[in-house]
Amino acid sequence: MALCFSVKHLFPISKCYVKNIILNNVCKYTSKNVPTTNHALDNMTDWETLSKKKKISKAMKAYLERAKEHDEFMKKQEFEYKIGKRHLANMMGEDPETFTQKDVDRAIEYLFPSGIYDPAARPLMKPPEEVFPARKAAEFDEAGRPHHFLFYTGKPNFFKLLHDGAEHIQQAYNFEDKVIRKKAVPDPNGELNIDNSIWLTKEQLEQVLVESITDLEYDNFKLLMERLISLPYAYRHKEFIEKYRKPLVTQRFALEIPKPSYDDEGRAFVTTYECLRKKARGDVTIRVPGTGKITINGKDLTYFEDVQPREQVMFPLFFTNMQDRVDVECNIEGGGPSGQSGAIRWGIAWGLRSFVDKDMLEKMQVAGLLTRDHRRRERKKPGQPGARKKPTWKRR
Amino acid sequence: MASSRLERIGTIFTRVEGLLTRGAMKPDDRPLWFDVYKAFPPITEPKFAKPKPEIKSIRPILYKEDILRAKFHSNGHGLGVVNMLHPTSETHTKKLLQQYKKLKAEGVPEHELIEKSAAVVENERTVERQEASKAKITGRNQESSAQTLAEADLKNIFKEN
Amino acid sequence: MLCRNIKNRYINYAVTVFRYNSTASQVILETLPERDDAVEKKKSPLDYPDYFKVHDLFTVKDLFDARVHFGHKEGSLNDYMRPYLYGSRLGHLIFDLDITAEHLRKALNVTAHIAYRGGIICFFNRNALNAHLVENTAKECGEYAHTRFWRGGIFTNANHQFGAVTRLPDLCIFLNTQNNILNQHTAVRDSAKMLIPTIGIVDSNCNPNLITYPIPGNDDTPSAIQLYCELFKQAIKRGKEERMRFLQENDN
Repeated sequence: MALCFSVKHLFPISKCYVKNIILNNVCKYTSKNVPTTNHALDNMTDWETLSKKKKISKAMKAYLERAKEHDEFMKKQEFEYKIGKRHLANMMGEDPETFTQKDVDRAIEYLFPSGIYDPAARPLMKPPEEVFPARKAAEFDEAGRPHHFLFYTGKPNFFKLLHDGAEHIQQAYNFEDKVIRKKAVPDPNGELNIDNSIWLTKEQLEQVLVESITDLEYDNFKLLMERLISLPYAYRHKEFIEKYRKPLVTQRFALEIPKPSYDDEGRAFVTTYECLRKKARGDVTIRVPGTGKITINGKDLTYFEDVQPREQVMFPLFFTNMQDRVDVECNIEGGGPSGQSGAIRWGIAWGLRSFVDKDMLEKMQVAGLLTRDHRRRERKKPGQPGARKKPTWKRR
Repeated sequence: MASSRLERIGTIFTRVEGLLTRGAMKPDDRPLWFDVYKAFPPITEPKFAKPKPEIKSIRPILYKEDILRAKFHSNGHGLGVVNMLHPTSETHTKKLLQQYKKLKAEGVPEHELIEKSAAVVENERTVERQEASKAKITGRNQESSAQTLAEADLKNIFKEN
Repeated sequence: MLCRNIKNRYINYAVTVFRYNSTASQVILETLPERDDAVEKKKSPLDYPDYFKVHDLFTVKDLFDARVHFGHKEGSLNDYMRPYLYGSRLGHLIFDLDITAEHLRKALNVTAHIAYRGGIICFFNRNALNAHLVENTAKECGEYAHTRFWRGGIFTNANHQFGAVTRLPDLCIFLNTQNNILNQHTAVRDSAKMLIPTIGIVDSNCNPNLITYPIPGNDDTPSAIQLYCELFKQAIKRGKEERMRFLQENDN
């Protein structure tokens, strides 16, 4: 009925006869013109009988096939890894039986040196389980019905998180209403302490959810959580909130500050061993009270000929304003003046922790005095004169 | 550019039916909804290219009381506060209309009806308001602060939910 | 939303007109064939006009109380929605709830039948105000929901999007069919393409053509959405209960 009407409407017969024929042909395929006594349609087995036969869905069948394929692939990779390891061991002249992953890493670093900054981009050889991410298990049952109610959004875990967040916000609102209605005062002990933690970063959240999310989605997540913690009764949902917060570890003072010992003269002293910088290595002893005397390998500050290393040594003392109040003794060996002075600088700062207050400690941390400098000499690369230096470029 | 425009041809039912009758789809593989659709077809076919329905003018919904409402509103009555927590409670205008009917039945002359019913309703409202405020004040006096605290059953609140 | 607020103010005015206890579609109830399991064992649920008795789930009065009759303003009217209108109250369109009830009952019946056959039912809604409610509904009745941004190709390119052969929903229920006030939800088009039947609440500014079972009604107000959700939940529940019974009988 509907189509016939449209035909009349759109193409008056007098105007275009040809088009009408075409449309009539099309009409034959619509429901109206299909003969009602069609055998194919009438003799269909009813659903009740069909449902007894069909047990496994197309989706599940495909999944099982895929899982089998994946297993075979992993087996092959495993085999190849083992052979590669044996080859490496032979190249390095070691016993292939006792060649561990650590040895493999070392051999790769030696055989394929790389100056690429990002370690992830350097050549590697790892067991296949580490290289190929674990495949997701089937997300649906035999009938092909997904397990998760937000499956069709494509990011079920993330949107479930948003859903839960909204649920918690609603609960907080309802509770607030109830409290107001009963004229109660908020629980003074209930407090959400969020000062020493931050939200998970995008990467961490992705790891938790096992899904990749966009920047916009991460912003939405943060917006939702901020909204939740801004509510007066957010502390009742502490468990949920803390799942997505990461504690800010106070690593700088996590190491215990040593209590100073006392020598024969009754002076307090702290010795810091293992002061390392470049190839230099030594120990530093700080004595309080003192007069600002500095002894380096039995000499005074003139042990360093240049001004730069002298300044380096004195810097922590000037920074804490302790230059006249402590004595410093150091034994240092290896490396050059720069490395030695750096090692002493770190040793003095590290030892001074026992003699300064917390504010100063904070300042020293910010000034970078308490940070170890782990940089070492970069190795020379074959085919070029230095670590980074390239031969002079000539046209021909 | 040229993505599939299959949805514009016929309906989902006719398309599946076509596949079945021409043998492109086995009868046993037919979609789950096919039988349901066949047994309960929609009232109008869900076709993309349907002819537009006949354009009739939309009938306006108007009542006799609208004239009275207009009269009340043009005189500045009927803009009371509505209690949204009780959707069944009567609005200011409705009270005015009821009063109007009542007064008319009592035989009040036509030209006084509007003003009089407005005055009566206004009077009722002020009385109500006064009573409410009185109740509030007395309630406050009776309740000591200790009582308020007793009412605020802290433990129970935090137990629930 | 502003428009909606104004609409709400007119509730009390329009009360007198509507036929609350309209029996237009309840007539069918009386003509229901008695379900006699002993005699008609072979009869399939499809042979009954209302096997799951979804007709008694609601009355027209319920629809009215949930403000289903409110449409948008006259200016935004889609011409295809004209047959479903009752009239216009001072510029605001009002749906004929008798027609709505008939469509809704049909849709509920189909929903129950699909649920009975173990079909996947997916709820859609792009209105942030009601999204949580819709998701909860889907969760409670063990079905699926999509109330977020629609990435193109979830249906049309499913095997690639989900990284595996995926079974698509067997029925899509749209609690609003618009993405925003101007565009139709892409899933409406996609499900028509992928041969998936759809049920949709169509407001006076929506195009009902591609929706298999359109239900004319208000698609913004939370109370209306709450009613729809409750009804669909009940229908699915009834279908699933019946399915459980059927499966148990089969096992024995």
